[in-house]
Amino acid sequence: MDYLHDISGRTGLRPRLSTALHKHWGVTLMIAPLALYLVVFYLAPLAGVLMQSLFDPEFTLEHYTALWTHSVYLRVLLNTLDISFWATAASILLGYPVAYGMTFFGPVWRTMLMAAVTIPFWISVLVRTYSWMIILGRFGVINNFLQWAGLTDAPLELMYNRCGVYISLAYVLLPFAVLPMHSVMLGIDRTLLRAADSLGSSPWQSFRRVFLPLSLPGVAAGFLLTFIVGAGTFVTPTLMGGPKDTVIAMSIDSQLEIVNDWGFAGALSVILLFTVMGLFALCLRFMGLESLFGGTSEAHGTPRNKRLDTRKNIVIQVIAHGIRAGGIVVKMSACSGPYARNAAWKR
Amino acid sequence: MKRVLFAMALCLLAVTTTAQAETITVCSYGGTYNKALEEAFAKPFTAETGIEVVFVSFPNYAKMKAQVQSGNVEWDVVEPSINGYVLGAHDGLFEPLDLSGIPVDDFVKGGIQPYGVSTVYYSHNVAYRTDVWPAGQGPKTWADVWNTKKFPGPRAVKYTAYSNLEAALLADGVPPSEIYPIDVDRAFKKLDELKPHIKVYWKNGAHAQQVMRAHEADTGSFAAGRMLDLAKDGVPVVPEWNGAVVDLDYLVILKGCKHKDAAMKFIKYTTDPKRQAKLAMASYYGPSNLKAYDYIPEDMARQMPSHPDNMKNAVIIDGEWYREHGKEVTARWEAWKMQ
Repeated sequence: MDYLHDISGRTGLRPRLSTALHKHWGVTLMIAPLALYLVVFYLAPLAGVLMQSLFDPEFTLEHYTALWTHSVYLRVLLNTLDISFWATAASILLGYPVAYGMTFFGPVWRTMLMAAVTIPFWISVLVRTYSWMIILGRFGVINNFLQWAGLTDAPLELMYNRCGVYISLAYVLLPFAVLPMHSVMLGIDRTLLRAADSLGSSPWQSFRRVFLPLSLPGVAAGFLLTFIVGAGTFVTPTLMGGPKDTVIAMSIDSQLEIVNDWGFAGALSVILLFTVMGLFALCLRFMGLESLFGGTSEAHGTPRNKRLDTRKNIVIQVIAHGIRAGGIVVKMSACSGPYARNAAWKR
Repeated sequence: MKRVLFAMALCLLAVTTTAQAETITVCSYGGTYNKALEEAFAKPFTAETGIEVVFVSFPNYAKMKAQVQSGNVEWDVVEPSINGYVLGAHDGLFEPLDLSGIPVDDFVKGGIQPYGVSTVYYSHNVAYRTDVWPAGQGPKTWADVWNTKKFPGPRAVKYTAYSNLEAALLADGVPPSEIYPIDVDRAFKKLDELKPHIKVYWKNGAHAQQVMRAHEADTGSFAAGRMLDLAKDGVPVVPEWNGAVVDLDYLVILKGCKHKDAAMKFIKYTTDPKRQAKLAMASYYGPSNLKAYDYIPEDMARQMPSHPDNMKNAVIIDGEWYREHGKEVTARWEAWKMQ
């Protein structure tokens, strides 16, 4: 853990970043188009949503105070965080051995395994969720088997409740957990493990005392990324959840579609955004930016140019993760693209 | 060389003539329903007028509003249901229609509005699995759905307050004509009784079908057309016709669209009873022009929501009431669900 403290103690990123950008105007130039793109297509609509939640029709805090008068929406927010947290925890626990196991294979097998992890990414969430409905249903594969085997008399309630949401959401989120953990694990210097071996540690000891601490930044990055995606999820809890599993994306949808209250929908989105950003900040405080996204032991005590490389990575990744965090808000404001695609299966 | 030039000129001619033909974009619910619309209305319409019709889905209220407000209108004709129609009319999203020549009296009640002309009449009905209760012996009314002693088993209802409050009041013995204004307290009190038995709150037609197909529920509230569609596939389900909660679809023209006149022509074209009959037979939704029943075989007509016999105890959803009380009712409904 000393190592983590060491890094988080050196996170005075802002002055370093600006000097880096000054000195390396080439890099700045490279990032500029992306930054411009983000400002126009991401930050501007985001600001629009914020304005809508405050000025609908004129300046009012009513949409935010409505959160207290209709306390159900606070519960919806807590639900969202709870569902996202436990599904994320499950994906990390299931994903860690997978990510770890993948590091033992050569490039060919690793690519195949990587494909096995990422192919579900390309299949629509809707399809994946429907297939879980077939597995977990009242007369689904599992219940039919249990009853056939005489293990249960009545069908178990595996879905249309929190259980179904956790199971299917953990499945949907799994790749988001595996990929960052795996990339960090690949960067871990294996000679450290051999050193531990040569000093007489058992395989379990060298895993626990060397590999595990070094892989923690990957776990943290995976956790954060998965959690953010989970917090904005809509399709899975909508289809797999019961009445008690309403999440904030569903409330935003019904405010837009049934109630036509865009101000309140905007307020809900802003609250979600700030909650997630708050958690993000909290993680940064404890983990440090570099350990989260810069990744590996290389970040510490490496030559200057290499560290700069890491920093370029950080900038790009922070922006990329920012997109995730606000994804749902943009979906809402753009009202086309992903949001409309999700809506396309209605009725 | 001459030939090449000639071919090029021909191509150019072809391009310009297709560019001249007007095209309207109609946004509806997609899938088999859009196909039915295409067969019943669009193809003969294009043949007669030369105006092309392109179908897209899905009529998302937020997207409709965003198009009109931003002045970037992609859709000419859209088909919202009552809730979307009332909100849009209130928000000023639609062009007023030219209703001259439309036989208003032939239409179902509320079928012709200043901004919208209804195409289909669809309803939320009691439906049940016939492998649980033999056909004719299952729950027939909302009161039967609520009677969990006589008809035990899991229920499924729609995930909105919309249509469920009405069903609850009908189950509680309120006559169809006295549903509005809704006595919200009474409706929720009645819903409390059913709540422990509601296993699924279905989110859309496809989901409702999936729920019945996979036998997640034995009975509940479903769109009748979807259940008939399932029955056609051999799933043992039947809808009942006593006390339907009805939603109408309206064709509207978005304000600021590029082909207003052609869109108006298309909407007038859809009001013809023969064409409506064709749509109804292809989609299982009821025609809104009741004269269409002259062209639908009797046994099929009895399976349609807008058949005069089936309309006797029906309640048409009051979009105006929901526009005024939607926010309160939705908050209460969500809180009620989560309790």
